[in-house]
Formats: sequence, C-alpha cells, structure tokens
Amino acid sequence: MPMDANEPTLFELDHGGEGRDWLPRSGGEEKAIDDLLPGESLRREPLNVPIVSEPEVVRHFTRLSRRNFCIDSGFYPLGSCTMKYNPKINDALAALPGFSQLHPEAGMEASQGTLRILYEMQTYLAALTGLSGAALNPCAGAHGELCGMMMIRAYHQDQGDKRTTVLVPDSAHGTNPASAAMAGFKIAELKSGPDGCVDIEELKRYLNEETAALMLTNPNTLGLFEKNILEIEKLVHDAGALLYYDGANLNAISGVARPGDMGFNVVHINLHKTFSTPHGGGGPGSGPVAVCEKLKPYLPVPLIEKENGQYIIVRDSEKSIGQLSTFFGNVGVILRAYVYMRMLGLEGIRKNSVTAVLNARYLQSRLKDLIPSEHDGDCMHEFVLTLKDHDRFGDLNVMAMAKNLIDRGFHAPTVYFPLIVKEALMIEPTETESKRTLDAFAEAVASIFEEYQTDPERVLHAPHETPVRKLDEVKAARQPDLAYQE
Amino acid sequence: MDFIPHTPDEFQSMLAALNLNDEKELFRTIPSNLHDPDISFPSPLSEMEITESMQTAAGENRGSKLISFLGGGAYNHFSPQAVAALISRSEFATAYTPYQPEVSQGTLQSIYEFQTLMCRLTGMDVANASMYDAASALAESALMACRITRKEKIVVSAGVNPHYRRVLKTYLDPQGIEWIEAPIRDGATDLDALKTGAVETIVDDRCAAFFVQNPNYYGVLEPVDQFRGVLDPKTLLGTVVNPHSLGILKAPGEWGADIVTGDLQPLGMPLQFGGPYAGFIACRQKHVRQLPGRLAGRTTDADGKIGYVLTLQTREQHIRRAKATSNICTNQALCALAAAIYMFLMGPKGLRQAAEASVRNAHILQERLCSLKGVEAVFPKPFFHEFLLHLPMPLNSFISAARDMGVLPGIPIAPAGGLEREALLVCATEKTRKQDIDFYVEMMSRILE
Repeated sequence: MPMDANEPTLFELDHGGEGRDWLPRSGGEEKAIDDLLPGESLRREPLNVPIVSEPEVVRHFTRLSRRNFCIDSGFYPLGSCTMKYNPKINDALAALPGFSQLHPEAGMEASQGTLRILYEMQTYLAALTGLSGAALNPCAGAHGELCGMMMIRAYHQDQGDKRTTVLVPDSAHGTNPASAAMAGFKIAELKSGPDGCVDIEELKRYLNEETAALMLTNPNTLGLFEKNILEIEKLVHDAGALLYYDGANLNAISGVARPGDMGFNVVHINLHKTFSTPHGGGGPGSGPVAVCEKLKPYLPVPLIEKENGQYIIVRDSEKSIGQLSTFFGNVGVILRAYVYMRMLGLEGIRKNSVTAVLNARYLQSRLKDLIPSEHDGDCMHEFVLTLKDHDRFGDLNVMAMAKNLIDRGFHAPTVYFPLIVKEALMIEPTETESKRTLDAFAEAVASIFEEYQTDPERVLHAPHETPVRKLDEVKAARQPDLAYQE
Repeated sequence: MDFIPHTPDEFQSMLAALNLNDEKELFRTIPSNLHDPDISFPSPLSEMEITESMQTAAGENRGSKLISFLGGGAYNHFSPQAVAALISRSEFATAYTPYQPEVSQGTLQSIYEFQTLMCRLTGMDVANASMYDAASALAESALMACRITRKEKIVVSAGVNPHYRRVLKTYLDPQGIEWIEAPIRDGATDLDALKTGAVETIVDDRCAAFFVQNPNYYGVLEPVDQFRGVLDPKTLLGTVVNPHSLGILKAPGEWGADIVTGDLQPLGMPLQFGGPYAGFIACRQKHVRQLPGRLAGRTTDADGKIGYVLTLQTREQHIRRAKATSNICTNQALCALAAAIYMFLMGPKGLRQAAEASVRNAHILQERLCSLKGVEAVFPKPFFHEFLLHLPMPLNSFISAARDMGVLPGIPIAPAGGLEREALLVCATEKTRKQDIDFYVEMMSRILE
C-alpha cells in the first residue's frame, strides 16, 4: 500500500464477531452482573466500539504514525516550541516499575523515592531561575501561567490592594492574556516599540495603581532579549505591580542568566521545552512555577517539603491559592526532565543555551540575504523573519514557504506569529541540530526561491510530497465533522 | 554529558562566521551584571550513573511493590502491551501540536478516532482532544456551563472526588463564580436538596449547572435517572464519570447529561504517582462553540482526499486571546492516544469484561471483609468497584499494620458531610486476584485480633 493512500478509520474496519478474551478465565461460578448492580444502571445495548484484532490495531496506528513528522525524523524548527532531541534514557527511567506503578495515594512513607525527586526538582528549578521556591503541580505552560496569575492575585488581595489589570505586550503568546483573564484580571495590551521590545514610554502610560502585573517573555517572542529589563523591573515594582516571566523561551538563557536576578517575581518553566521531554503530539507537558520569597505562601498545594530527613506532602497551607491538579501534576514528565537535568549538570544546561543561541544566530545569518528579519538586534535562541515585502516576494507568502519546506523534508517554522509581524516566520533551531542540518535548511529556502522563479504554480500549490495535500480548513469549520458516523 | 552534535572546531567556525571571538558575545544584549550567576547544582552524570541513581530512587518507593487496594481517582488496571509500544513510537511521542496538518495526519486522525470513541462511550455528540486531568476538566466544564447559560453559580455534589472539588474552587473563586456543594445522604446525592420549587432548594434559577460524579467518590452508584427530572430545565446537568465503568454502565447521554467529564487514566495509563493522566469533556452538538480545548475535524484536501485538521479554532487562545474559551494550549495528547488504542484493543467485550471483573472482585471483597467482626459497610447502597468501610480500630494503625504486611489496604477518608466518622475507601479491579482477596481478608482478621 503506498504511503499516500487513505488510511481508513478503525470504525470502518470493524469486522464484528466475538472479540478477544483479555482476562484470565474464571475458575469458579460467577455472579451475574445484574445480581450485583441495579438493572436500570446498566447499558441495554452493547457498547458501540468496533471489534478489531490486535494486529489490525497495531498496523493501523503504525501506519498513522508514518503520517507524522517528528523530531526523531527531521529538523523541527517550530519557533517558541523548543523541539530539541528527547533522550531515550529519560523515557526508560521514568517507566521503571518503581515509578510507574506507584499510586498517588500510597502515602508518604511508601513514596519516598518519587517525593525525593520532586523535592530536588523544586530545588533545582528555584536555583536555575534565581528564585526562592517552586511547585510542580501545573500540567503545562498555560497551566503554570494560570497558577502564577492566581498567586499574584492572592498576593495583592492580601496586601489589601485592589489591582485588576495585567499588562501583556502585543507580541505575547495567546496563552498570556487568556491565563490572566481566567484568573479574573482585565488585560491591557502594550504596543511593542519599533525595536520589537517593550516601549518604556508605553509601559509608563499604562502602569498605575490598578496594575497587578506585567507578563513578559524574555527573550521575547521575536527572539530578542529585553535589554531594558532592569529599567522595566524598576518601573513595574515602583508602581506596586509584580513581574511575571513566561518561561517559554528559557532555553535561550538557562545557566547563563536568571529571571530572579532580573527581578521577576514568578516564573513558569516549560519542562517539555527547555528540559527536553517528548511533546507527545501536543502533550503531556509540565509547567512548574518558581517564585520569590514573598510569593511562597501562595504556592499551590500539595507542597513537597523535607522534614527530619523525610519527604512529606503538605496538603493545606493557609494562604495557598489551592489545588490545581488532581494529584501532583505530570509526575512522569517531571521524572524525565529530572533525568535530563542530572545528566547535563549546570555546565551542560549552560552549554545548551549557548549552542541554541549560536545555532539561531548562525541560521539567521545564513538566511539574511534570502529573507529579512523584522528587527535588527541580536537574536537569542530564535528569530523572526518576514515575507511581507510583496514587491520582493510576490505571492510567495509564509504559508507557501511553510508548505515548500515540508516538501523538502523539514518541519515548517511557526507561522503568522508573533501577531505584530506581518507574514512572520518564527524559527527556533535548538542546540541539538548540527551545522550540516542548518546549512541544508538554508539551502532548501534558497531552492524554494529558485523554484518560484521557474515554476511559481508548483510552489504556490505545495505541498506535493505529503500523504495529503492542502486541506480545506474552511469546510472543516463550516461543516464540522468531529466524530465518525456510520 | 550533552546531546549537542557540534565538534569544537565546528562551534568555533560558526562563531567566526558571525564575526564573534567568544561565545560570551552571543549574550551581549543581556546586562553584564546578570551574567554568570552563581548556581548551586549537582555534577553531571553519565547515562550509567543516572540509571543507577534512578533505580535506587525507584526502589525507595516501597508502595509500588505492595498489593494495592487503592483507588480514589487513580486505578490499577490491566493495559495491553501494544498500548505502551504504540505510544512510544517516535512519530507520536516526538511530534508536537499538529499545526501543519499535511505532516500531522497521524496525530490528527488519532484524535478524531479518540473523539469518536469518547462520544460513543459517553453517549454524547462531541468530545474534545483532552484536558490536563479530570479535576481541570471538571473546572473547565463548570466555566463552560456558565458561558452557555450566562449564569454564575455552580452546584456540585459532595460525592464528587474531593481533589476535583478543590480544583474547582481554585478555578471558580478568582472569576467570582459562586459554587455550592449539594449534600450527600446515605452515600448518594440528596435529591430533595436539588428539587426546584422546594422551599430551600440550592439549585435556583441562577444556577448554571449541577455536577454529579457517578460512581461517586465513595463508589456508590448515584440515582442518575432522577437528576434531570428534579433540576430546572434550564440548569445543565454535568457529570464526572469513570470511563472504565462505562463498559457496563448506561451512558450519561442516556440519562440526560449535558456535559460529561472525567479522567482517562483507567483506560490504559500507568499510575505514575498521579500523572500524566488526561481529562476529557464531551457535550451536545449545540454547545460545541463553548467547548474548551482542541478539536480535530475531518475534511478533504485539494485532490478531494479525506484528511484531518484542527478546527473551530476561534474558540482558542491563539486566536481569541483574552476572550478564548480557555487558556489551554498543550493538552495531554499522548495520553488520549493511549486511551484510544486501549479502547480499540479491548473492544466492547474486553471493556465489558474488565468492568464486570472489577465489580465482581469488589463485591466479593466487600462481602468477605464485612463478615469480619466489627467491620461494616458504611453505605448500604449499590456500588461499583469501590466501597467504604468502618473498622473497629483507628484507621491509621490499621493502614500502618497492613503496610507492614505488604498491603496498601485503602485510602483513609476523614469525616465530612454525609460521613460521620473516618472510613476506609477500598477498591478492587480486574487485576485483583483471588489470592489478593484471600490475603486481605486473612490479614485484616489478624490485625483486628
């Protein structure tokens, strides 16, 4: 079967019959289920799930898997997502039965191994971010943002301060305003300056006694370090507001500089990005928070603490914002990140950031004659190019560029983001890509422009080499087909 | 130890290509006083060393080796080996959110098939691509109900898992949404407290939704057929369900639920000290635009071939920012994939048999434990695979003695509304063997002596 043929859903492969017996045969007589549970609570019809054999299921999902692009198969320069190589040892060790078979209610004495690792992880994250305490409960970056915003809200309330507004730069990830809104804040959007950074005058205009916090990504989503960070910090704190650090771009500076030293009060860290856990096709991730001393009382519970040499679970804490996830967050992800951090040590973590920035700077310079950057400054671990110059690029827009890169065996960069850059291509190579790969990517971009000269139609109608071609997203939204119907 | 391919020469040549002499110049936009912080951090380890170190830590988790009768939202179920094998394929594990559909058809079609399975399991029209866990899914469901009804009050049964209720509170309080707990009587939600028109009803016309868990936290089957009838027709009926139970229990869509949520962990995911699991939300078609989280939809490509995309994205944060239905971005995609593969492998028969075996084992265990002197079932109600016991001795002493004999006998539940004194929450699944039950009974009788 050729790769590009349709793979039917497993609902279409339902062959009926009995289906497999998965459980051991019972030795004795069994009570009928109707004798144990009231008849009206039970299903009348058998569950409508297809009957397919294990070989068919395995072949189906293996075939589907081949329709995915992944880090292990190629360069994945998806800006702001830090698609670095995920070491296999992380997965293997997180899957040790001692970890994977541990029930979250097993009790403290019976869970000392995992609790120790969680405790140490909190310590490492506090050290790396330059802050005083950390909590691992949030399950993803956006969950960490929500947690951070709730802590900021609780802190101000405790101070008797009625602060209702959170400032968010117009270059921020969409999760920032969405998280602040979920924590009950109003959002004010700060227009970025012409250099792509926070405009100090604009910031001053917005800061007042109602400002609860400024949410900042640093380096920001343009890949630029906020060079005025110390002035920003002073302005924000002088206004009585707090400073929130979106750790999406921590891979640029970890081990090199610390958000805590820049004056940030709360940080969330995307373990799946900077500390290299598999992204799983969209999760699970992990988004711990680290906080300064005065915010520690507000950390979410349960907290993991150490007392007389034992690791303990603290379920309640007077000023805590409360509980954010059912148990302790995505522990399996935290274990993977822990393995990764322990293998690297501080020197390795620092070297990651140095190399991530070197790779980005190198690739940007390789591309600079082909596609201009939106802003001049030195980029950090990622950079944003723009195809907005129609006179120069004609109809070769960002979407066409993305699809042609795909045809050439690369994943596309992040497209049309940040929103403040027209026709934006956001490229984050990460440190695990070789010079050879970066050179090949630059050559692929050049070849797209060449092909556009000779065969523009082909370029504009890409992709051609993928299992499906350009998909009708308008139809998908207008006539939503969200579940298979027989 | 690192994972960087550059040779030192290459590294230098790349710096030179940028006209830089030293790697420190890469960071010249960072104020100099911020450079090179003093960080205390352990020394790097080789793969051999970290393996040994993690094996030691895993060994310190004595709880993973004991015979477990723990439930309470995390369950020890059988999962076919093919589940773990398929989800560990790099193509699924090391891809990200399917932003470029042409090279993400594997993930997208899997999500579509997952959504379909969840609709069939719950009897609903639409299911999203996953949430973080049941607790956050319940909280997001409550917010969704408030948006649908434009009301700001939620009533939640005290029979809902206390962890979920605590997370619900964390989410609702900052938004100023009122929430009230509906009391439990004899182990199930007190219907009289819900009746509209009653003098002291808590479900008044300001109420967006009422949420009930079935089977509830105490394992008891709720009178699910009666909720719709006692609620105001405009109040949404929400429910938290254990998907494992739906192998035999009536689908919530059949008893009038408008929003169905829960945790996918019982469908093939390891316990892993509480995560990663995944939450889900399923709802009626008419409410899909208020549903949070990702959705995959089926469409066609430029050649008319079937393909899949993320759709109805105007609900989401990357488009609507502060006005989105939720801030969720990364969800628990790989866990949802595991659940889908699990359901396909087990099939209707396997799902039914697993649920039936859980019920049978729990009932045998309960009956035998209750035959011991002084041990009694707290609530004489139909239950699924968990039940509460009162013991004639302090719980903590019993649990600690049981642990010394190699058993995690249950979760201690403190007295709360509807539960007058402490009780032990005991769970059995299809993995509970006859000898485990025998051992538990014998052990308990010895400890009680």
